[in-house]
Amino acid sequence: MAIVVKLDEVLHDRRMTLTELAQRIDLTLANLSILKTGKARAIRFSTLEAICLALSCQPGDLLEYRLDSVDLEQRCAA
Amino acid sequence: MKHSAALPVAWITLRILIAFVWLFFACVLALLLWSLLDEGSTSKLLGLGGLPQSMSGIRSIAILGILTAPINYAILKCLLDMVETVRSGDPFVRENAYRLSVIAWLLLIMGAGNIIFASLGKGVSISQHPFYLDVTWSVNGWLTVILTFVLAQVFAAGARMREDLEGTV
Repeated sequence: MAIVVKLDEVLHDRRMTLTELAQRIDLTLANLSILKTGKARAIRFSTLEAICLALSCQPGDLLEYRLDSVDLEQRCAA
Repeated sequence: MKHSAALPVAWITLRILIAFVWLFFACVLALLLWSLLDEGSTSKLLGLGGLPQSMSGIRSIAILGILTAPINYAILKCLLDMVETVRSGDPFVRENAYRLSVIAWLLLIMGAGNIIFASLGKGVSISQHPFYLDVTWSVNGWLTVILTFVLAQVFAAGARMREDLEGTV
């Protein structure tokens, strides 16, 4: 997927662990881990809002659109 | 998750029906074999009047009956597996959409088979020895096939939505 989740980088900048964030935003560690590893298919606005509030960041700090070669090939094929 | 009382009833009913399907299979197979071993007594038992064309017609019906048993079993087994998924609280899966699609195709085959059954029954029946074979394929039968195909699509869409929801954080 061309959407890259940069939660790990933001967490590193804020010196916060995934467990701490999970506790702050009241989300399970498992779900947060899915988001961090880029395995999530979608993110709720409420989750995004809670993460932004906890990490004092913007959605753009957490997500990035990065067109990789596979996506480019798929687009060309379509 | 609390289930309705219909689920255990459906589960038991399907189990009983599966047993009946194989019992029917065994009976028809026995009749076919018996007709080959002792044509005279079979003809007398079925009231066919000893006409050879009637006996061959009956054998054809028996063979078709034997062939329908695995189809009936497959339909009931698919339904039973679906009931199991409902009981486990996870019915919106791709497998159920596939099962419904299989059931729809098998019902369609059964519908076509019923038409052959009916024509064979008419062929066997003669005025001296009328033979009534109660197989009809009504409008309801065709509607059931269409409904099952539509339901299969509904389940496929439901399964896709569920998968998306599972991946939502």
